[in-house]
Amino acid sequence: MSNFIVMEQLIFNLKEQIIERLNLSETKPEDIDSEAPLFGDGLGLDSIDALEIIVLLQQVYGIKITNAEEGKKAMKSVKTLAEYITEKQA
Amino acid sequence: MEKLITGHCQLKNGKLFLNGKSLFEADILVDELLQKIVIEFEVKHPRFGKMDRLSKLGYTCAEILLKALGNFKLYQPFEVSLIFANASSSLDTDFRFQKTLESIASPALFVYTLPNLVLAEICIKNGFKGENLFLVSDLPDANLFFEPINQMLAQNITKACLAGWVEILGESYNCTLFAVEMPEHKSENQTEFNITNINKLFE
Repeated sequence: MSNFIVMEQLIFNLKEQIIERLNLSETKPEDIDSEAPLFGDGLGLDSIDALEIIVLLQQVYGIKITNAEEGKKAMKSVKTLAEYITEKQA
Repeated sequence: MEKLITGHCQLKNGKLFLNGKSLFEADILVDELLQKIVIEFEVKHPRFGKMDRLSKLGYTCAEILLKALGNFKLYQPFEVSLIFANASSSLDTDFRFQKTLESIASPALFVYTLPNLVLAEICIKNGFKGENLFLVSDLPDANLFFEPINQMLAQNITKACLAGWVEILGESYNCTLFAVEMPEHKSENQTEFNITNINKLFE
Protein backbone atom coordinates (compact mmCIF):
# COMPACT_ATOMS: atom_id res chain seq x y z
CA MET A 1 0.00 0.00 0.00
CA SER A 2 1.35 3.45 -0.85
CA ASN A 3 2.31 5.90 1.89
CA PHE A 4 -0.47 8.21 0.70
CA ILE A 5 -3.17 5.54 1.15
CA VAL A 6 -1.78 4.56 4.56
CA MET A 7 -1.84 8.22 5.65
CA GLU A 8 -5.40 8.76 4.34
CA GLN A 9 -6.57 5.63 6.19
CA LEU A 10 -4.89 6.82 9.39
CA ILE A 11 -6.55 10.26 9.05
CA PHE A 12 -9.95 8.61 8.59
CA ASN A 13 -9.42 6.33 11.58
CA LEU A 14 -8.35 9.28 13.71
CA LYS A 15 -11.48 11.21 12.77
CA GLU A 16 -13.66 8.25 13.78
CA GLN A 17 -11.77 7.79 17.03
CA ILE A 18 -11.98 11.51 17.89
CA ILE A 19 -15.74 11.52 17.22
CA GLU A 20 -16.28 8.49 19.42
CA ARG A 21 -13.92 9.51 22.21
CA LEU A 22 -15.16 13.11 22.41
CA ASN A 23 -18.84 12.22 21.98
CA LEU A 24 -19.23 14.41 18.91
CA SER A 25 -22.40 12.47 18.11
CA GLU A 26 -23.59 14.79 15.35
CA THR A 27 -20.26 14.98 13.54
CA LYS A 28 -19.28 12.60 10.76
CA PRO A 29 -15.67 11.92 9.67
CA GLU A 30 -16.32 13.74 6.37
CA ASP A 31 -17.41 16.86 8.32
CA ILE A 32 -13.91 17.23 9.75
CA ASP A 33 -11.43 19.09 7.57
CA SER A 34 -8.12 17.25 8.01
CA GLU A 35 -6.19 20.50 7.99
CA ALA A 36 -8.58 22.63 10.08
CA PRO A 37 -7.50 23.55 13.62
CA LEU A 38 -8.74 21.08 16.23
CA PHE A 39 -9.03 23.84 18.84
CA GLY A 40 -10.62 27.27 18.63
CA ASP A 41 -12.22 28.08 15.29
CA GLY A 42 -12.00 24.65 13.64
CA LEU A 43 -13.55 21.73 15.45
CA GLY A 44 -13.92 23.89 18.58
CA LEU A 45 -12.38 21.43 21.01
CA ASP A 46 -11.39 22.47 24.54
CA SER A 47 -8.65 21.62 27.04
CA ILE A 48 -10.47 18.53 28.34
CA ASP A 49 -10.76 17.28 24.76
CA ALA A 50 -6.99 17.77 24.41
CA LEU A 51 -6.47 15.49 27.40
CA GLU A 52 -8.82 12.91 25.85
CA ILE A 53 -6.78 12.98 22.62
CA ILE A 54 -3.59 12.43 24.65
CA VAL A 55 -5.27 9.39 26.27
CA LEU A 56 -6.38 8.19 22.81
CA LEU A 57 -2.81 8.39 21.47
CA GLN A 58 -1.56 6.42 24.44
CA GLN A 59 -4.29 3.76 24.40
CA VAL A 60 -4.65 3.17 20.68
CA TYR A 61 -1.22 4.04 19.29
CA GLY A 62 0.99 3.48 22.34
CA ILE A 63 2.38 7.02 22.04
CA LYS A 64 2.99 9.06 25.17
CA ILE A 65 3.34 12.81 24.73
CA THR A 66 5.89 13.98 27.26
CA ASN A 67 6.90 17.28 25.69
CA ALA A 68 4.18 19.98 25.85
CA GLU A 69 5.52 21.90 22.84
CA GLU A 70 5.69 18.72 20.75
CA GLY A 71 2.12 17.88 21.78
CA LYS A 72 0.91 21.36 20.86
CA LYS A 73 2.40 21.03 17.36
CA ALA A 74 1.02 17.50 16.91
CA MET A 75 -2.50 18.51 17.90
CA LYS A 76 -2.87 21.40 15.46
CA SER A 77 -5.07 19.36 13.12
CA VAL A 78 -6.02 15.77 12.33
CA LYS A 79 -3.36 15.78 9.60
CA THR A 80 -0.55 16.90 11.94
CA LEU A 81 -1.74 14.31 14.45
CA ALA A 82 -1.52 11.58 11.80
CA GLU A 83 1.95 12.78 10.76
CA TYR A 84 3.04 12.74 14.40
CA ILE A 85 1.78 9.16 14.85
CA THR A 86 3.53 8.04 11.65
CA GLU A 87 6.78 9.66 12.75
CA LYS A 88 6.64 8.09 16.22
CA GLN A 89 5.78 4.65 14.85
CA ALA A 90 8.53 4.70 12.21
CA MET B 1 -45.01 40.68 46.66
CA GLU B 2 -46.01 37.07 47.15
CA LYS B 3 -43.48 34.27 46.60
CA LEU B 4 -44.88 31.93 43.97
CA ILE B 5 -43.99 28.71 42.22
CA THR B 6 -44.21 30.12 38.69
CA GLY B 7 -43.60 26.90 36.78
CA HIS B 8 -42.51 23.29 37.10
CA CYS B 9 -41.20 20.53 34.87
CA GLN B 10 -40.87 16.82 35.53
CA LEU B 11 -39.22 13.96 33.63
CA LYS B 12 -39.85 10.57 35.21
CA ASN B 13 -40.64 7.05 33.95
CA GLY B 14 -40.44 8.12 30.31
CA LYS B 15 -42.94 10.93 30.78
CA LEU B 16 -42.30 14.64 30.48
CA PHE B 17 -44.65 17.10 32.15
CA LEU B 18 -44.65 20.89 32.05
CA ASN B 19 -46.84 22.64 34.64
CA GLY B 20 -48.68 19.34 35.12
CA LYS B 21 -49.45 18.97 31.44
CA SER B 22 -48.08 15.92 29.62
CA LEU B 23 -45.70 16.99 26.83
CA PHE B 24 -43.94 13.82 25.75
CA GLU B 25 -43.98 10.11 26.47
CA ALA B 26 -41.73 7.28 25.29
CA ASP B 27 -40.85 3.91 26.74
CA ILE B 28 -37.16 3.99 25.83
CA LEU B 29 -33.81 4.07 27.62
CA VAL B 30 -32.95 7.36 29.26
CA ASP B 31 -30.04 8.27 26.94
CA GLU B 32 -32.24 7.94 23.88
CA LEU B 33 -35.12 9.66 25.65
CA LEU B 34 -33.04 12.74 26.46
CA GLN B 35 -31.68 12.85 22.93
CA LYS B 36 -35.21 12.76 21.53
CA ILE B 37 -36.49 15.43 23.94
CA VAL B 38 -33.72 17.95 23.21
CA ILE B 39 -34.44 17.64 19.48
CA GLU B 40 -38.24 17.67 19.85
CA PHE B 41 -38.25 20.73 22.13
CA GLU B 42 -35.35 22.50 20.41
CA VAL B 43 -33.18 22.84 23.49
CA LYS B 44 -30.03 21.46 21.89
CA HIS B 45 -26.65 22.49 23.25
CA PRO B 46 -23.34 22.23 21.35
CA ARG B 47 -21.79 20.44 24.32
CA PHE B 48 -24.79 18.18 25.03
CA GLY B 49 -23.02 15.03 23.81
CA LYS B 50 -20.11 15.72 26.13
CA MET B 51 -22.20 16.21 29.27
CA ASP B 52 -22.64 13.40 31.78
CA ARG B 53 -26.13 11.90 32.20
CA LEU B 54 -26.91 13.92 35.34
CA SER B 55 -26.12 17.16 33.52
CA LYS B 56 -28.08 16.07 30.44
CA LEU B 57 -31.13 15.30 32.57
CA GLY B 58 -31.01 18.52 34.61
CA TYR B 59 -30.09 20.68 31.62
CA THR B 60 -32.94 19.29 29.48
CA CYS B 61 -35.65 19.85 32.09
CA ALA B 62 -34.24 23.25 33.06
CA GLU B 63 -34.20 24.44 29.45
CA ILE B 64 -37.78 23.28 28.82
CA LEU B 65 -38.96 25.04 31.97
CA LEU B 66 -36.95 28.23 31.30
CA LYS B 67 -38.17 28.32 27.70
CA ALA B 68 -41.78 28.06 28.90
CA LEU B 69 -41.28 30.74 31.54
CA GLY B 70 -39.54 33.01 29.06
CA ASN B 71 -38.76 35.73 31.60
CA PHE B 72 -35.63 34.44 33.37
CA LYS B 73 -33.41 36.18 30.83
CA LEU B 74 -34.88 39.51 31.97
CA TYR B 75 -33.27 39.14 35.40
CA GLN B 76 -29.75 40.40 36.02
CA PRO B 77 -27.19 37.52 36.09
CA PHE B 78 -26.70 37.75 39.87
CA GLU B 79 -30.45 37.78 40.52
CA VAL B 80 -30.97 34.13 39.52
CA SER B 81 -30.03 31.34 41.92
CA LEU B 82 -30.10 27.56 41.62
CA ILE B 83 -30.70 24.97 44.34
CA PHE B 84 -30.72 21.33 43.24
CA ALA B 85 -30.60 18.11 45.20
CA ASN B 86 -30.48 14.36 44.66
CA ALA B 87 -29.78 11.06 46.41
CA SER B 88 -26.96 9.56 44.35
CA SER B 89 -24.79 12.65 43.91
CA SER B 90 -22.59 11.96 40.82
CA LEU B 91 -22.47 8.18 41.42
CA ASP B 92 -23.77 7.36 37.92
CA THR B 93 -20.72 9.12 36.42
CA ASP B 94 -18.40 7.96 39.22
CA PHE B 95 -19.07 4.33 38.22
CA ARG B 96 -18.34 5.11 34.57
CA PHE B 97 -15.16 6.93 35.54
CA GLN B 98 -14.10 4.05 37.78
CA LYS B 99 -14.32 1.68 34.79
CA THR B 100 -11.87 3.85 32.84
CA LEU B 101 -9.35 3.49 35.68
CA GLU B 102 -8.80 -0.09 34.51
CA SER B 103 -6.80 1.39 31.61
CA ILE B 104 -6.28 5.17 31.48
CA ALA B 105 -8.61 7.50 33.40
CA SER B 106 -10.90 9.57 31.20
CA PRO B 107 -10.41 13.32 31.79
CA ALA B 108 -13.80 14.06 30.17
CA LEU B 109 -15.56 11.80 32.68
CA PHE B 110 -13.45 13.00 35.59
CA VAL B 111 -14.67 16.58 35.25
CA TYR B 112 -18.23 15.37 35.86
CA THR B 113 -17.49 13.45 39.07
CA LEU B 114 -19.21 16.19 41.06
CA PRO B 115 -23.01 16.63 41.04
CA ASN B 116 -22.95 20.43 40.93
CA LEU B 117 -21.63 20.34 37.35
CA VAL B 118 -25.26 20.21 36.24
CA LEU B 119 -25.72 23.65 37.82
CA ALA B 120 -22.65 24.91 35.97
CA GLU B 121 -23.99 23.71 32.61
CA ILE B 122 -27.32 25.50 33.17
CA CYS B 123 -25.62 28.67 34.48
CA ILE B 124 -23.10 28.85 31.61
CA LYS B 125 -25.83 28.34 29.01
CA ASN B 126 -28.09 31.01 30.50
CA GLY B 127 -25.52 33.40 31.98
CA PHE B 128 -26.80 32.95 35.55
CA LYS B 129 -24.32 34.09 38.19
CA GLY B 130 -26.36 33.95 41.41
CA GLU B 131 -26.09 31.56 44.35
CA ASN B 132 -25.57 27.85 43.58
CA LEU B 133 -26.24 25.01 45.95
CA PHE B 134 -26.37 21.25 45.38
CA LEU B 135 -27.59 19.10 48.27
CA VAL B 136 -27.50 15.33 48.70
CA SER B 137 -30.39 13.73 50.56
CA ASP B 138 -32.10 10.31 50.63
CA LEU B 139 -35.43 11.56 49.31
CA PRO B 140 -36.85 14.67 47.65
CA ASP B 141 -38.19 16.84 50.45
CA ALA B 142 -39.59 20.36 50.32
CA ASN B 143 -37.69 21.29 53.47
CA LEU B 144 -34.41 21.05 51.56
CA PHE B 145 -35.48 23.89 49.32
CA PHE B 146 -38.00 25.98 51.24
CA GLU B 147 -35.84 27.67 53.84
CA PRO B 148 -32.83 28.58 51.64
CA ILE B 149 -35.05 29.95 48.87
CA ASN B 150 -37.26 31.79 51.35
CA GLN B 151 -34.25 33.44 52.96
CA MET B 152 -32.61 34.41 49.69
CA LEU B 153 -35.79 36.02 48.41
CA ALA B 154 -36.56 37.71 51.75
CA GLN B 155 -33.02 39.13 52.00
CA ASN B 156 -33.08 40.24 48.38
CA ILE B 157 -30.05 38.03 47.61
CA THR B 158 -31.97 36.62 44.67
CA LYS B 159 -35.06 37.50 42.67
CA ALA B 160 -35.66 34.18 40.98
CA CYS B 161 -34.70 30.65 41.82
CA LEU B 162 -34.60 27.48 39.79
CA ALA B 163 -34.74 24.51 42.14
CA GLY B 164 -35.53 20.85 42.37
CA TRP B 165 -34.58 17.21 42.40
CA VAL B 166 -32.35 15.75 39.68
CA GLU B 167 -31.56 12.10 40.27
CA ILE B 168 -30.12 9.47 37.96
CA LEU B 169 -28.50 6.12 38.58
CA GLY B 170 -28.50 3.67 35.70
CA GLU B 171 -32.02 3.58 34.25
CA SER B 172 -33.60 4.99 37.41
CA TYR B 173 -34.14 8.71 37.04
CA ASN B 174 -36.37 11.53 38.24
CA CYS B 175 -36.01 15.20 37.48
CA THR B 176 -38.52 17.54 39.07
CA LEU B 177 -37.64 21.20 38.75
CA PHE B 178 -39.58 24.31 39.74
CA ALA B 179 -39.13 28.07 39.52
CA VAL B 180 -39.78 30.47 42.38
CA GLU B 181 -40.30 34.17 41.75
CA MET B 182 -42.12 37.17 43.19
CA PRO B 183 -44.16 38.43 40.23
CA GLU B 184 -46.32 41.52 40.49
CA HIS B 185 -49.42 39.60 39.51
CA LYS B 186 -50.34 35.99 40.07
CA SER B 187 -51.18 34.10 36.88
CA GLU B 188 -52.90 30.84 36.17
CA ASN B 189 -50.79 27.75 37.00
CA GLN B 190 -48.83 29.68 39.63
CA THR B 191 -49.14 28.45 43.20
CA GLU B 192 -48.04 29.77 46.56
CA PHE B 193 -44.46 28.90 47.46
CA ASN B 194 -44.86 26.70 50.52
CA ILE B 195 -43.81 23.25 51.76
CA THR B 196 -47.13 21.58 50.86
CA ASN B 197 -47.04 22.80 47.26
CA ILE B 198 -43.38 21.85 46.78
CA ASN B 199 -44.03 18.35 48.12
CA LYS B 200 -46.98 18.00 45.71
CA LEU B 201 -44.51 18.47 42.81
CA PHE B 202 -42.43 15.55 44.06
CA GLU B 203 -45.38 13.13 44.22
